[in-house]
Amino acid sequence: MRWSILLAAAALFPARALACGGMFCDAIAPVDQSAERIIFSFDGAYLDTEVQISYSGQDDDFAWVVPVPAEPELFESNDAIFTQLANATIPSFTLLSDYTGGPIGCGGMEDAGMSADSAMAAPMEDGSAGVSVVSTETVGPYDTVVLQATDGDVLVQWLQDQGYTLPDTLGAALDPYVAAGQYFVALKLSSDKDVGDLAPLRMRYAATAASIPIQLTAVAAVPDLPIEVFLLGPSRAVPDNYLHVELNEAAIDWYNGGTNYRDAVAKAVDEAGGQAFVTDYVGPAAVTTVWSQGMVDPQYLLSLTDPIQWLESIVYSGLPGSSQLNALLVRYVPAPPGVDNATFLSCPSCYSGQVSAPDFDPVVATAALQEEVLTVMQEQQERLDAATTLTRMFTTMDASEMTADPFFVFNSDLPQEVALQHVATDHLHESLTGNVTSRSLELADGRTFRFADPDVPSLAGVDTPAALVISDLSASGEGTPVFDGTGDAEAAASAFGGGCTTTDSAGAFAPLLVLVAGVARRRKVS
Amino acid sequence: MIPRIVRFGTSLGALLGAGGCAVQPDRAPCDTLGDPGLEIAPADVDFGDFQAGDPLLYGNPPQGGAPYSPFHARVTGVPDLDDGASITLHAVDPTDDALLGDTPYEVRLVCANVGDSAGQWLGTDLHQRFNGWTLDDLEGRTMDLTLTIANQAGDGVEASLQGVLTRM
Repeated sequence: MRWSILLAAAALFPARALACGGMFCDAIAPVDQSAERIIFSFDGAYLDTEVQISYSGQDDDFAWVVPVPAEPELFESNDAIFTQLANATIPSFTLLSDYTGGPIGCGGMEDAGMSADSAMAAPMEDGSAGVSVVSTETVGPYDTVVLQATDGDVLVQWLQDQGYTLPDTLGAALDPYVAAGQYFVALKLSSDKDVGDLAPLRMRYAATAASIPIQLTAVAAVPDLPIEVFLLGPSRAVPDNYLHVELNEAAIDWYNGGTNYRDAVAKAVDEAGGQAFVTDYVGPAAVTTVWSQGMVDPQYLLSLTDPIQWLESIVYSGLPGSSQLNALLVRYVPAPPGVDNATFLSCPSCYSGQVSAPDFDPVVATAALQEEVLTVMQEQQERLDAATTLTRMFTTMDASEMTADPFFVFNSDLPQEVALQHVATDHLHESLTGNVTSRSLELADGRTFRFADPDVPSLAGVDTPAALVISDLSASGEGTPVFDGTGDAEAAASAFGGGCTTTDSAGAFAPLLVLVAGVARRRKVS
Repeated sequence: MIPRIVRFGTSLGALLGAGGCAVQPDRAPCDTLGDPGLEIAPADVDFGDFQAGDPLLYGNPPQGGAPYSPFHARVTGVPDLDDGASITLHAVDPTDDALLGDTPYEVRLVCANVGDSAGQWLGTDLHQRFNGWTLDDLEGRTMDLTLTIANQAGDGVEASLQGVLTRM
């Protein structure tokens, strides 16, 4: 996540290469693979913040800086939990088909549709004037430094002197955080690592609430940057100082599986002034499993001297895939020449005659697996298990909209469930001769859009807001609605042909519908 | 010329009733309704309830940054604030004329159509940042806060309040 700055060459817009890391990634549309993701786990006193770091560019140019309110502990994290949570909480848009009429016997249904191996490095020493180095250590692939400063420009200069590639203009953006005496976490790749080794970072620190320092992100943000926020805590989470948007389902492209979801959210958030979130999911935190006892048995792995058997005991274990796991596996059992890692790991025994790992030692490899992957995932699972509720929120933002850091608070007064499944019904009617005579789309709230041309079922021309309701939410109460577009939305459905006139397609076909009703089959398929 | 605060209590309820099948836009006429006016209040206080000299809560933001104090505001009679609003929060301590903060924002506002603010422009909370100040230094200071909101054409409104900074 470009939570702070992934700065290098100024124009660098990091690719989201790790958005779906892991060989077992099987995302389902319309998951947004390019989204920036962050997971907050709040236990009442401490906040664990896991950030997925994405970047493409030169190894030496990678630099990452983020402010935190208290001295943090740093840990290497793992892509698996990001992939698992993202895939388990994807909003889905299902179009049921309600078919009537047509030739008898003819089917008309369609289903449209730090633990980390962080070793403390040399003891800190005060840097140049104005910078205090709190700690330095190696965390996974990163050389990290935690520091404080008295001035943003001084901080940037100090980091530049230490080999961090940062733009001079960053200093001004850091000043407000410097002024409050905040801590800064700065990362760069260790000398023996490259961008392929990038891993998520977990920061644990005392905090009263979760927040994203989005103002720093503005330095290197792409237009309509998608941001997915997962909050694990005692109850539903809401944006405290941003608005909340309930999406108008008429803005969804139901006939293409809701693939325009991101665009619809972007439009709705823009209607809310650009600083707002939609809630994709609220419900039990136990939506996925990243680790379970017995998923992988390290004792058994120790006995496997055959590297292929060792590999297959892991990749077929059900352990969620991740970039970190893949990298570790091929570190100890390299893929044969000419075979890419993903292909090799999908079927290690397919290459048993070609694998060369003469120095393979199951004790060494298993110990590394335990330390670098299994322990990290076990701790991720423990945070999932400790939380009552998971909230997933989504927004898109332009750099010009990143003028205030969003805060998130927990609210137990609001409904503690927001479902992932959204359903609409496509009503089709065919004549006895098999021609479609009328067609309409009925949304879950009863709004019905009748299509003038049954062959062109599209709501693209509907003049309706994408934001159905915009609310101001806080830590208690049900919030204050700011804008309620339900009247507009209903009017738009009516204007589209929902029954207010007798000259629309439905009215014209009414006699035929009555006639056909006597011979039609009616089916509904989910 | 920027008018000073104008308290606004106009309800648009009568304009918003649903009308059967007739298209009855939900959008309240924020662009045209009333004279230019602006209300500001601490985020935890309802509009109209704040009295001069009352506490103004401030604290450190959760994720870092300078101390801040949260407010909310609503605007009437200024067009096109959904296209962009330039907002400035300017805070001084009148006892020693110390500049406490000067915070510019560029946001877009929403035309409210429900509740007490129907027909007025609303946005997210506005945070006055106190760059260069510590929590201890701010404790007990009197703050004169002036809020200015203008549209892209430069038409704007201004309002002020005075309170005593009190830690959250």
